[in-house]
Amino acid sequence: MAILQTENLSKVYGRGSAAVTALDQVSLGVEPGEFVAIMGPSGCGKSTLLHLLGGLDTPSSGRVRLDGADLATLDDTALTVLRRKKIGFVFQFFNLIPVLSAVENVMLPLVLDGQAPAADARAREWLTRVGLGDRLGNRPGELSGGQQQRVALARALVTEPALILADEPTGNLDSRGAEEMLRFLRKAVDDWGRTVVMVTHDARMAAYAGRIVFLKDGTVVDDTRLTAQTTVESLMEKVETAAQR
Amino acid sequence: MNLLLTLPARYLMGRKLRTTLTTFAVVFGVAVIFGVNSMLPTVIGALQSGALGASGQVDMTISSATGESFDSTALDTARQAPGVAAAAPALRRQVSLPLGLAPAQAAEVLGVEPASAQLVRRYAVTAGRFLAPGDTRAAVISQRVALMTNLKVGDQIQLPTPQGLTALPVVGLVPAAGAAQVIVPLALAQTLFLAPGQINAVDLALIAGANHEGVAADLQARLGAGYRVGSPALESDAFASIQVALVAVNLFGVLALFMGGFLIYNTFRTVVIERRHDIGMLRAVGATRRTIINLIVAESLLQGVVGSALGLLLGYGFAVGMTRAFSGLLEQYEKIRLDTVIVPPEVFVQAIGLGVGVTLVAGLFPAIGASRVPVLAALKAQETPAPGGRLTWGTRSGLGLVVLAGLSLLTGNTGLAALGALLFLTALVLLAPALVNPIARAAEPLLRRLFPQEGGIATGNMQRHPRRAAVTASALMIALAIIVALSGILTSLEATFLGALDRGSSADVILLPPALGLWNSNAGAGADFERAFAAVPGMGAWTGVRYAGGLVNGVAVQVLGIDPAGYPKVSTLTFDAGDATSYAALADHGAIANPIFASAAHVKVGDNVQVQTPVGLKTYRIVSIGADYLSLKINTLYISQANLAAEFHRNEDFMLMGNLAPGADRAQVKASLDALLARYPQFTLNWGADFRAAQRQVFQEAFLGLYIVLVVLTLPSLLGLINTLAINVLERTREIGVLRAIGATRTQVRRMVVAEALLLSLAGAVFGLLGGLVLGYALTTLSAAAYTNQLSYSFPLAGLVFALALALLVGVIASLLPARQAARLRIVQALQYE
Repeated sequence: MAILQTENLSKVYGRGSAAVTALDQVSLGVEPGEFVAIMGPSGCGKSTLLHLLGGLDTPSSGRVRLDGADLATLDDTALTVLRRKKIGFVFQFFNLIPVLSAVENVMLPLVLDGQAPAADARAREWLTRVGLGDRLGNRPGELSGGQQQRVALARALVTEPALILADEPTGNLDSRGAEEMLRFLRKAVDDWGRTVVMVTHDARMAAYAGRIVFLKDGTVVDDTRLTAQTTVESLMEKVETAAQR
Repeated sequence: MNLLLTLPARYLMGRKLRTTLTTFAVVFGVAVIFGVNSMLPTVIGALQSGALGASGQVDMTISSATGESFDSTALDTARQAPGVAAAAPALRRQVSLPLGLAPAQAAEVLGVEPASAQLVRRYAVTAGRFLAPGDTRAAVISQRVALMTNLKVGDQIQLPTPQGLTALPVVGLVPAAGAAQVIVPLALAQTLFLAPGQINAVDLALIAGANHEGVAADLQARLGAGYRVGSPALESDAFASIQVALVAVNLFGVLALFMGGFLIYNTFRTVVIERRHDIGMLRAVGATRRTIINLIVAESLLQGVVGSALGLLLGYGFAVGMTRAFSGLLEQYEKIRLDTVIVPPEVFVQAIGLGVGVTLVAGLFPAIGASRVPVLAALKAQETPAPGGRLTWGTRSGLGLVVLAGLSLLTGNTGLAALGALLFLTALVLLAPALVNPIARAAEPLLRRLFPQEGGIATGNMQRHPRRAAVTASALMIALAIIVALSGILTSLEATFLGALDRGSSADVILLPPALGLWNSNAGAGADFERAFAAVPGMGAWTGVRYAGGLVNGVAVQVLGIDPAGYPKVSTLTFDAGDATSYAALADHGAIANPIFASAAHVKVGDNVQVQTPVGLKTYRIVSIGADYLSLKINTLYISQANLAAEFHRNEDFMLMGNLAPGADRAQVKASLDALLARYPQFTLNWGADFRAAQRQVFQEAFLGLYIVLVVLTLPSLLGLINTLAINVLERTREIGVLRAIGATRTQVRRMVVAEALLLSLAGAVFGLLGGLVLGYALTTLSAAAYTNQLSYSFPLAGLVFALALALLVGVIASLLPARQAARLRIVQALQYE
């Protein structure tokens, strides 16, 4: 059974003649343990889709089901609790609290969930897993971009959510940092049993995923499972082809 | 410790300058309220003890409800009342003891019956003896008087009385708990102070174990409403002025705190904007709306607690400092010494409650706003701009309020007019976001002229965030509106008072008592003095003014006795209703009410009023409504001196005015008056023109002081402006980086921030001047309706110019720090700023 399911999901911004359809009738299912990359040209609706999947935004029409729960039926508090327990977010711009240390940033979701006693140990554990065991007490300003993003990943994983949503997680990193980040996302799926949905426009990064959904003008134009034979070059060709459809 | 509990403190510590600035706003408001309310009880206590001497030592005191003297009926009643062990009559008068070359000092002359006085109060004689029943001319002085005058037993003390200086032999010394007292036989006091058979207090000793409240209630019932049991009446100009001062300064404290609250509100609004990412992230990872509210409210609470604590400390220091400063003034003018500051517990509660409460409320609204920001919007890099083209809820409400305010102001009803002024201010706050862009557009050409390269960017920056600009401008608006409004009232008051001064007292010579406010306790002068004054060579027309305390329908009123024939020759009242022909009607139980009293007691010309006098209720017909400079601010009834003597037993002049005869030699007149006043040190000689000039100067100095206080009021606005500009710079770090990268110099960046600050303060000034004019007009009209139609609105042009200049100055000062911050940004780091 799909952990994440959308049905005819649409999002329209503005009204009347100024209306812009960002997402148009998207139906998509994501199975547990999948690593899905959403690709497409700028303005195709990738981030909008991700925001709707995470309950950060509300659709104009259609439904999103997460682990059986219809997000449209949840009020703000229930949606918040669902996000807290079942979703981990990784953003392009890290979004760490500047006045908190790395470990405190990672503890936050657990503290918010009333699990303060266990928070410190688990935050340390997850930071160590992402290779930051020696930077626990550093504040975001004292870490490199790649390190900050790994703190953000640890924060996303610390509640052991079913789903990780990553919005251009490498968009603000150098190539080394980006590849390191992707290896950890892959590890989240392979070793830690999470499901990852990632938005990216970079084919090299998308190559770490197991499935690629191509969007154009708010609709799914291609949905491909990657095989061992898939190369970055073949992926880039696919992107080109999808963009021309 | 729980992360969520420490997070607010960490945010505060992370922005030390801003935290300091906003906390200072709370400190400032709390300090003013706490300081003033700590200081005033001390001042009032000192005035009371000055007026009452050592009366606090007895179990209970009976006095007249009006503060006037009365006959011995109350004494007999008291002696027969259950629970009363002894009753002693007393006649108290406040005098200024001449001390040779040193300035005169206040002392109380206490006339007592030697036998009964010692039954109600213990006189521990330290030298000589106490008064004996057979004494006719003798005085016992307190240690303090002995120290002041350097007198000892056997010496003669010179007492100023309505009949001139009287020398009495000092027969004994008593400690009198540090009070300056001269105790004389009652009969002698009655003779010296022209009050035969009269007393103004009955001091009581109660039997052991008597219920004080019960005895007091019983006595009150037996004596009736004409008397007060407990403490003597304290109605006087000085107390009235202190009460007014208390209200005014407290109002200032509340305004300061309100401004502080506004600043905190503004800060938290900008904090919310600045922390949109953090809030969005917190919401994304599972923080509920309530958690967000709690976080921000906890921050404001922390600031409120710290600010209030510091405010209490600063306020206490302020109270001690002001008490010391005030002490000098009171000693000089009222001959009263201040004690140490004692803070009543309720003042603590009030100051802390206001400080913490205002901060909490100020933080709460932005907190609620923050909790409502959609997660996604918060996570976006930029603040969502306000939707353009459509009228927002605030603008619509603001427009509605303007219409309501206009209608309220047009009704002519004073209550509605005041409400209208407040509505107008609220409307301006609501309309401010919509007005920011038009103001920016209007000012743009001038700004581009002053700042050719930076003016356009500065205008654009302000227009980009009209709501935030509006909040900052509104903070400045309130400060400026208050300045302009009060300057309108002050200008009107100055014109009114000085107009009354010029119109009223045309006298060449004015003899004034040393304690101007405390008419009640001053020793005046009797007929001998009047004759001597009239006989001064070169003296033309003259008149005396006499005083008594009265009560009309529970409203305290000073009753001034004037000579209906003589008074108009030397001075004149300005009439609101009726005219100068009404003086003649005073002889026939007529009375002239001053406008404040007419308003307070709801009387008009032709009405009869029942005046409480020492001989019972007496009916006076109001023949006109008028006032002069000295009676403009306190409830006053003018009656004839003949009626004052018959019904209030007052024959002493407290003030005398005279005109020089044509061709009189001023120097000779002065020499004669100096010689006369040597025997009557209770009066000081003032030349009319000098007196008016001195009063004018007093007014101008007082107003200057008020303007300084008003400038202090802009301090929170300054902090607010600095805050907003600093946050603007922070938010635009990347933009500033880009500007620098493409060739903007540090100076240009600095000038851009200064230009924006000027624009913001200009917007604040426009709102403030508008609001202030309306508020000032409404308040003046309200005061005129409540007090006197002699008060007319004067356009405060100087106040407007001052407020505008102040606003621009505040803008420039506020921009200095953020401009420096912006100019110092390193380009590469700024470009990478998240």
